[in-house]
Amino acid sequence: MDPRTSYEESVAKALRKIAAHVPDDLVHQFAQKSGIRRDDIRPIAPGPSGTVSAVDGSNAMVLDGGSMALAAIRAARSTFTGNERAGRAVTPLTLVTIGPAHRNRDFDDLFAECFGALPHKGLDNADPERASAILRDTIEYWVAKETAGSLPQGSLLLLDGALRVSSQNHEPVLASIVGTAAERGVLLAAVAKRTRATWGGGHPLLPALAGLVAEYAITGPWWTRIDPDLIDHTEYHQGRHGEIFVASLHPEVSRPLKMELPKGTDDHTAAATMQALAACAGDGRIPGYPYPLLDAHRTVAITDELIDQVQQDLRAGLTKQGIQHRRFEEIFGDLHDEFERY
Amino acid sequence: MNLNDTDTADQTKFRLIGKSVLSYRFIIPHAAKLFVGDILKITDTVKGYSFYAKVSDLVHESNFADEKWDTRPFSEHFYGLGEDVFLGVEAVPLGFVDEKGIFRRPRTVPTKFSQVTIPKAADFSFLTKVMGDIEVGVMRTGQGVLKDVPVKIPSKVLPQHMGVFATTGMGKSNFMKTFCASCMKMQKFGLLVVDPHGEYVRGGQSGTGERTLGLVHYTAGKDGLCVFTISEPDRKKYGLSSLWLDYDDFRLTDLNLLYDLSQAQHDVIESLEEFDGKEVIPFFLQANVDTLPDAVKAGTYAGPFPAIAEKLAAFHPGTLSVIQRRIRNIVTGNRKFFRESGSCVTEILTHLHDNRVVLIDIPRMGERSELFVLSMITRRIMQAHRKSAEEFGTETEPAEQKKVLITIEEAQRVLGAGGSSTQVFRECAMEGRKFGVGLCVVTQQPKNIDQKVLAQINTFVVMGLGDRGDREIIMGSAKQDLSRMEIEIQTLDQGEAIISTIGIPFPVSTRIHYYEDYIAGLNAEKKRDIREGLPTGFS
Repeated sequence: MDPRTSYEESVAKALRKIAAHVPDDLVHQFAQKSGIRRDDIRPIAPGPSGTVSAVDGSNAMVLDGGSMALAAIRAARSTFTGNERAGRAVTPLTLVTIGPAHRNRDFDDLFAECFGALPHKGLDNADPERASAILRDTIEYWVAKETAGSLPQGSLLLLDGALRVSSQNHEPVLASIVGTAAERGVLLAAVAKRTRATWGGGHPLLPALAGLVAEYAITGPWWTRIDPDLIDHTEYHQGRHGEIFVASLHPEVSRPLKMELPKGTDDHTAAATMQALAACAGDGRIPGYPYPLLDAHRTVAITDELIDQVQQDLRAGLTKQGIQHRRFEEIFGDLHDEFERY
Repeated sequence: MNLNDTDTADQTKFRLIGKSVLSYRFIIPHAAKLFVGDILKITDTVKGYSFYAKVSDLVHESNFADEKWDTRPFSEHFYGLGEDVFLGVEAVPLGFVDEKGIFRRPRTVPTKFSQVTIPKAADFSFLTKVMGDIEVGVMRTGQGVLKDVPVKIPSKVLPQHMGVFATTGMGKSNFMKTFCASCMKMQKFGLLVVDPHGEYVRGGQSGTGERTLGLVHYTAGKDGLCVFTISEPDRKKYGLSSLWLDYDDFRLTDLNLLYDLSQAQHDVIESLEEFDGKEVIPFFLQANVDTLPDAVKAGTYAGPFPAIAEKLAAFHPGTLSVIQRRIRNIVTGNRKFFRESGSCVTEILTHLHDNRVVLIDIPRMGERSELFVLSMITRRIMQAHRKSAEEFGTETEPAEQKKVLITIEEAQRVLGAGGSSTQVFRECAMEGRKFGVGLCVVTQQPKNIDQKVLAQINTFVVMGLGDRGDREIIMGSAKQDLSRMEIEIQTLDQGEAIISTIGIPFPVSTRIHYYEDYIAGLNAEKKRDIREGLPTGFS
């Protein structure tokens, strides 16, 4: 990087890099590399909307004092039957500490409370943001596990993201969720809001596949299975309990979504899962995205206002304990807040 | 770890969420039935007050940050639409009832999240304490009416002028007849109505062709009515009085009102201002105006009223000829009720002072005759009341001051901006209230009424007004703030009105009684027994 490069030159350079990732013959290359033929793009038949439960989690940093941080986490479940919400449930807003010690004790406690055993590896506090996300995953997996064990046969359990763990501690938990769902005849899918999945050394997966589907002149909802060897990054091969699928769920709106179904899902089960997904993806807010997941997200989201409230509660509590505002600012003060005022 | 079911019952609707002392706001389900004009009760359990507000607008709203959520492609289906999509309601505060049951002006706001409900008739019991006595309808709330909440205009404020504003077909005649019937019933002041169409006396046909009744059909209230008519058959049929005005009721200045005059003609009128009608009219009926100036200058004038002749010597015979022709036209055109001597104006005044409705019935006489009669009687009323005030040595209202309300239909003809031709009505508008004389200004075109006159009006009866300019004039002139009710005024249906008066604490949406039904009810009321108030025996 030459510091004398002008802004215009840097924009031009960025554009060249983007173009290299999305070449003119992207679709042609993808067709050759993936081997996906027209027959591999399966139409989704319209069907009734049965019972669908969606689980999502949320985490937000409440205070970050460098050596010690406080995060708020919670998870929620939204259940729909026949396109009507049958219920919503949410875990209490939980504050977890990250630091100052190396090992996160709150994670151990939370994991033990949720799953009845200590995590086999534990959680490192080195990266507070990551630690906060894994703590959130813990509670989210717990809700998913509870839900998998209670949904009736033939219903659909939707998770946000992927059937892949970010922490090895969750490996047996996710395995248990997948296993429970399979045993009880509950369809399971994890749907990604966004994906970094690429093929052929960095070409994005979804635009290439959408282009290929368009070239095949396929309209209406569809799904296809993605060969795991097509995907570039090794992270997609580690900690995985699912197989990658891509589906466009709306009859009019083309919105390909990357999703994962449990490993070994046969075509019949995959088709049933896709049909159940499409049946709940007609909401006008985001046509083509399963609405129960959006509803779970809106239920669980920890908003700025909520964080403000928690911070106020903490300040008030500390004052009662004799810790003055100045000391609080010394521990958790952040000049970014001051900058915001100007 | 717990997974708690969240309460899915929606508590966010029908509770106050804003906004200020002058404007309330809350939300309701997106498919809820609420109408502009609906009156709502806001129960503030913290302060112990019951606030009242009127819906002024309804707006589709949502919690979505995306302003175009409802217009984007494929947005035809939404899960749980009612949770985030709703109607925002804007309401105008009317006032509140405090813990002692006293209605007060809205000088505070209800506590946040106070419950909003649709009130029942019993909730308006406080209104009976502030309502007046001249009943014209029932309170309207949105699409419905509160049958048990009659709307009554306070009679004590009516001499401070009243305006009835409505375009054709909105029920103006029905309102006036209903108003007259209530005045006949209550007899709190005298009401003068000049009816050039005969519709008030005996009824006629409505705009939809239905038979309508007149004031004579309100038999139970006949004691409160006195009709002076030029129709001999009606006089005999209904037992009415004959209408007669005489030359002395006339002033030459009345020509200003009836004709467009040149400056020279004005000068003639001005020069004869000191002479009574009993002198001026015979003079012009007899005089040879062609030779008059020369005869006066030569000292050979030998006709009647030499003082008048002397005044006119300087004028051109052509000018005098026009004045003469017009006076002859007046005399001949109004001969059915206008004669040399024998006026019933004194009798009219007596009936007005007995708090009766006095109806001047001049069917088929035309607009000029109507104004002719109205200006003469109005002048006599003003003279009598002014004299009465002078005799008391003060122009402030004495306790026993007689009160008269004079109705002027199509008032823009005589109360428009500018001009001195309608002096008697202007005097009445500007000074009449001091002498207990009020005007009932009826017009379809309030924007053509002089702003100074509108500013004197304290009671506004606003019926449907299609013209934006008319509505703005009314909203700017009323003593109470009507600006927030523009949508309601715009959407008023036939027979509906907003009544704003200084006697009632807020503008009241009213469904005017249908006259025929109203008098049927009044006629069916039990008549007062003559023994009421008298001892029933000897002790």
